[in-house]
Amino acid sequence: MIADRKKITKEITTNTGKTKILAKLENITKTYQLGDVEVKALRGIDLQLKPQQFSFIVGSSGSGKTTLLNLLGCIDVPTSGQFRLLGKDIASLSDNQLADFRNHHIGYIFQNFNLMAVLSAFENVEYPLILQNIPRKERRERVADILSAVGLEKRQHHRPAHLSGGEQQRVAIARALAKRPELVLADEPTANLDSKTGAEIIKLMLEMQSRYKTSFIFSTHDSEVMRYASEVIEIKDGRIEKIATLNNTNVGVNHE
Amino acid sequence: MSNLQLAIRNLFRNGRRSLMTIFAMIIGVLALLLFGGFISSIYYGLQTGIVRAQGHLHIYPIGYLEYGSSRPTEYFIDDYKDVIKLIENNKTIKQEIEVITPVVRLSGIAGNYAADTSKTFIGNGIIPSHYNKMQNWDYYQLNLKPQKIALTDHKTDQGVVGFGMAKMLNLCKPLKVAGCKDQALSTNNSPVDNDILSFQDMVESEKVATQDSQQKSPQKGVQIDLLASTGSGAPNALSLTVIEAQQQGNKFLDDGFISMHFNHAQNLVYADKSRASAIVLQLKNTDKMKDIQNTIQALLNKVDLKGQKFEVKNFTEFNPQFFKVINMFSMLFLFMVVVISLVVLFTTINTLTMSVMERITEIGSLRAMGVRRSGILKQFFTEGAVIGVTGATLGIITSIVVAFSFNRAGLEWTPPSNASSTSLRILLYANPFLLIGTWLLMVFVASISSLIPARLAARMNIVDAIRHG
Ligand SMILES: Nc1ncnc2c1ncn2[C@@H]1O[C@H](COP(=O)(O)OP(=O)(O)OP(=O)(O)O)[C@@H](O)[C@H]1O
Ligand SMILES: [Mg+2]
Repeated sequence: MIADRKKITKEITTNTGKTKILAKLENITKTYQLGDVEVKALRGIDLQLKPQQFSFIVGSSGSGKTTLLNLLGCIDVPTSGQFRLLGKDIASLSDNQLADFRNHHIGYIFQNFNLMAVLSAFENVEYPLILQNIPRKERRERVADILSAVGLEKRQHHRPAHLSGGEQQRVAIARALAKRPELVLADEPTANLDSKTGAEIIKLMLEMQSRYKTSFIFSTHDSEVMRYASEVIEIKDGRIEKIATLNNTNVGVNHE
Repeated sequence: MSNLQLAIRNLFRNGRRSLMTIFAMIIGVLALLLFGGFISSIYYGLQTGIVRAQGHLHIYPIGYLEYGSSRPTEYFIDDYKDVIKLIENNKTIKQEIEVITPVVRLSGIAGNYAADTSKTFIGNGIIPSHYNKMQNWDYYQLNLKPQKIALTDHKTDQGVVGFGMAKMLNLCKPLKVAGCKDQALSTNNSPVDNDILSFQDMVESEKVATQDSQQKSPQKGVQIDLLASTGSGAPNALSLTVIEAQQQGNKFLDDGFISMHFNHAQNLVYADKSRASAIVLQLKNTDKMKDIQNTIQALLNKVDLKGQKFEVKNFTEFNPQFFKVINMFSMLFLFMVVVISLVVLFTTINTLTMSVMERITEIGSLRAMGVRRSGILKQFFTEGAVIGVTGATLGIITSIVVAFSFNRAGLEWTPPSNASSTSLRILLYANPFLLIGTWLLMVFVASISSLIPARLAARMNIVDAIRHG
C-alpha cells in the first residue's frame, strides 16, 4: 500500500513538471438516478484548468457546481467522459489509490466547515498530516505556521463548538492547506457566514493561494466575488456557459 | 492523535450513551462472574469433599468396581503393604502423595441385639489417623470444616454410623442424635417363625465359631453386631462399638452407613491381615492427577505381585456423580454466556450504529480528505474495542468487590450430595480462566459487534455522506 502511494506521488510530480495543465475534463457528464427519474447534473463539460490559479465556479442553485467540484475532488466519478487530474487518469484508480491521491494532492473546504468536533483547532489541522505520516516535529511546526497565517494561533486549543463560524472556516482553510496540496476545493465556503465574515474568508483564501501557490477552485452562486478571481467559470444547467479569464490575479488581496 | 485517543474522545462526546453501554456490559460481566464463581465454589467444594473422604486415586484389583462388592473372595489386594511400598519407592510419585492408605469395603447386616432391629449396611474400614489427615486437605484454600471421624487408631473395635442408620437401629438415645427418637420397644415380640434362624442366633453361633473376643473392658458407645459374608462365602460376625452418628450426604448411604477401623473390617471380611479391598491415594494437588494415575498404572503393570492385576481410577471415575453435577452447572453457565454475549452484541451494535448515524458528515469529510475505508473501519472498531475493554474491566472490578462482600457475609448452603452445610462462596480466582476468559469474551464480543456499524461507516458513499449535513 505504501509503495503504491509513493508510486502515484512520483508519477504525478513528474507529470505536472512536464505539463502545464492541472486538470483536463473532456465531455464529462454526470447523471443521477432518482428512482425512475434521471437527473442530468452535468451535460458535457469540457474544461482545462491551469495550476496555481484561483478559479471561481459560479452558477445558480442546482446548476451543477457541487457535482463538478466533487468530480474534481475525486470523491465522485463521471457517468461518461475523460477526466485527468495532475496527469492522472482518475477513473483508473482503485478506491484506496483514490483515497491516497486525495490525501496527498487535494484539500477540501466545506460549506459547513465539517471540522471534527472532538479535536481542537490545532488537532484538526494536524490530522491530515498524521494521515501522511509526517514526523511529529515537522507536523507541529507546519500546523503552528499555518494557524498563525490564518490568524488563529490564540484559539488553537479550542474545539470547533467554541469557535465562531468564521474561525471554524479559518481552521478548515488551514487544515486544507497544511498538507500543501496541489488543489484546494471550496464548495460555497462562505454560504453559512455573514457577508462581512465571508468577505474576510475570501480575502484570506486569496492571500493563502498567493502565498502557497496552490490552485483554488471556489464555487459560489454569488457573482459579486468575480472581481477577485483570475478565472471565472460560469455554469448553467450542467453546461459551461462562459469562461472568463481575467487579468486581475491576486488583485483581490488589495480589495475589500 | 492516535485512533485510540480519537475513539475515547468520541465515546465521551456522547458520554451518557457510552456509559449505558458500558453499564450493560458491567451487569453482564457481573452476572457471568458471580454465577461462574458460584459454580467454581461448587466444583472445588465438591472436589475437596470427595478428595477428603475418598482421595484422588484408588487402586483396585481389576474388575472390583463392577463385581467386587459381591465377591470379596475374588476381588481383593493381597499383600497390600507391598503395593504401597512399591508406590512409595517411586520418588516422583512419593513427593506428590499426601496420604496413601488401605481400605476395606464391606457390606452385610448390622443388628442391635437389645432393640431387636437389624439393617443391611455398607461399611468402610479405614485407618482413622489417615482418614483424619485426609480431611485436612485444602489445596484450594476453601476453609471448609473438616469432617473428622471420632475413631482412633488404637481402638480397633469402634465404629461410626450414619444418622439414618442410627435411627434404624434404635441408637438415637444412646448416641444422643439430635432430632431423632427411638421407636418404643414392643413388649410382646411378634412370634418368630421357628424355621427362620433369628439374627441373634446367627450372630451368636458365628461368634463362637470365629472365637473373636471383645468387650474386654466396658467402653462408651453402644454395642451392635455385624454380620458379613467372608472370603470363604460363609458369614462372619463381629461386635462393633458405635460411638457416634455422623450424617452422610445422601439418604440411601446415610441409612446404611458404617465406618469402622481398618483392622476390624479386615477381620470381618478377610480374617487375613494382608488383604485390603483397595488402596486410596490422596495427592497434594489435583493438577497432576492424570499423570500420576498413568504412572502408577504403568508401574503396577510392570511389576509382578503374586500375579495380581490392578486398575487405577481417579475420583471422577469412581465418583461419576461429580461430573454430572458439574456438567449441569456448566450447561447453565454456557447458556448464560450465550445470552449475555447476545445482549452485549446487540447493545454495542446499537450504540455504534447511532454513533455512525450522527457522524455521517464527518465520515464523508474524512473520506474526502483522504482517509481510506479501512481507516474509517478501524476508527469504529477501536471504539467498540474501547467499550469492550472498559466494560469488561469495570465489570471484573465490580464483580471482585461484590464477590468479596458476598463472601464476607458468610451465607451458608448445602451443596448437592453434601452432608452438612458449607459456606456459600463465590470463588473468582480458583479457576484463573474464569476472569481471563470472561474478560476476553466480552472484549471479543464488543469488538466483533463493532464491525457491523464500522463496515456500514466505511462503505458509505462519500458524496451522499457529505450532502447529508
Ligand atoms: N446525489 C444526488 N442524487 C440525485 N440528484 C442529485 C444528487 N446530487 C445532485 N443532484 C441534482 O443534480 C443537480 C445539480 O446539483 P448540484 O448539487 O451539483 O447543484 P449546485 O450547483 O451545487 O446547487 P447549490 O447551489 O444549490 O448547491 C441538481 O438538480 C440536484 O438536484
Ligand atoms: Mg452545491
